[in-house]
Amino acid sequence: MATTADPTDLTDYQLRLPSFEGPLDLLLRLIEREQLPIAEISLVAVTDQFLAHLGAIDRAAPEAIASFTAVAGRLLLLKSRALLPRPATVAEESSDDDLVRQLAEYRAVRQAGERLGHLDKLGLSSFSRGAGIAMPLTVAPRLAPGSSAALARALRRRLALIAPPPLPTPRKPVVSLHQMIGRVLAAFERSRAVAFWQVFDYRERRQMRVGFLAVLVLMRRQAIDAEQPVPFGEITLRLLDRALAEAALLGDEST
Amino acid sequence: MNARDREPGASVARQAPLDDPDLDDAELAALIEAMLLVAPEPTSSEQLAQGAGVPRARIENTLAMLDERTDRGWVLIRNQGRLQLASAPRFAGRIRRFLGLEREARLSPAALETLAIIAYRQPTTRGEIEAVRGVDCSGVLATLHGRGLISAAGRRPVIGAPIEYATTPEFLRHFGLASLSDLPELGEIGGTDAAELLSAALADAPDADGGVGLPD
Repeated sequence: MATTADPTDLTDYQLRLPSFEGPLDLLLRLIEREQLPIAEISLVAVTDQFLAHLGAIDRAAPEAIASFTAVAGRLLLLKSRALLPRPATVAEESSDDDLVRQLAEYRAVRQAGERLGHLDKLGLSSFSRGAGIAMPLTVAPRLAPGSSAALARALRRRLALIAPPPLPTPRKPVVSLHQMIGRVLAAFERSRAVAFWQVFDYRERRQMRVGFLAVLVLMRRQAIDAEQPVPFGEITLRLLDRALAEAALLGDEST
Repeated sequence: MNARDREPGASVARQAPLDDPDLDDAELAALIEAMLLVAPEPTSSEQLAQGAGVPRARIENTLAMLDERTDRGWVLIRNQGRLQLASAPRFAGRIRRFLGLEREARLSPAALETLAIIAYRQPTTRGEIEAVRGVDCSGVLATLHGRGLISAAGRRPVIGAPIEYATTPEFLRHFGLASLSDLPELGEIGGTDAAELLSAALADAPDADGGVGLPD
């Protein structure tokens, strides 16, 4: 029976172990791969292989590295004891490392898990009441007393209680800034100075708001000038540069 | 007033004399079936005894007799002393079709290991589970909990009051087990009983939850 694996034979096993979960899982797989019993001497035999796997652990999981390193430390201690002749005085504390026991326990659990996995695969489940999701609900419908004519009347009464849908709101025509700039420009066709009220209808508040905005846009572009001698008084618009005003009409916002 | 709202066996106890002589064993078995059929939730043998008006020992004997039967479409499932009728595992496929249920995804090896520890040594804490498996188990526990296979059974009266986990009736149904004693044997490992090993491992494990996977 092989009691030691060749520790220099590192290339062989590294490729073949399936993904393992945790240090005990790895250790057990290594031992089983070598067909070794769970014993201290087996742990010593696979120590180098275990250490080789440490390098392959995802660096992003520090907890995993910590648990692997802890097991690696215990393995190295076992190995050093196996290599060095032991004074008799410390023999008792090294006689049974509980890594061996822990591994045996872990294997028991793994085998139990495998048996459960077999049952899981068979899928021979039991079902009790309420397990179904596709079954119709068993709540008995409460039927209203009376004839179908009574039901129809009840429905009509119910429908009468429903508020009529709101009347559609008439849509107001959209007044665009572009339109209002066009109107200012058109007003300047007749003279270079026009009064605000000549261009915009005071009664149309929406139109006036947008018109005022149009005036501001044209002023910012230095296409027109505006003057209001007294607060709340008449605003007089004066054309400064027709070309700039027309550029504003084209919606050229670069300036 | 709905009969289902009442605790089964709660009010009938006073009316029925104990050990009704009219009930022979076959008739008592039929009565137990009938009671379990209408029971809205898992029922104790005490409740059955009160309902049937017979001593509990007779109920237990008859239940054992019912367990022997294999010609029925149902099985008796026992969890924490409570009984429930469930469909026989051998009909799983057709019952699934009948109920319109999809087969659930298979459990991962990690989930199965964790479930095994809980099943064989319940109630147990996360610290104990992690001590045996040597890895963090919080994700696996959440998965098992989400599938209804385990539940929190209480808190251990030690420092940190860790949650104790136990398997659920759904665990038994999922694996087609009639009770926890139907779990597969743990087997022998190196001449030592694996169940003993596991118990020893769990006894040594740190009590407090969140203990790291490895002692020392």
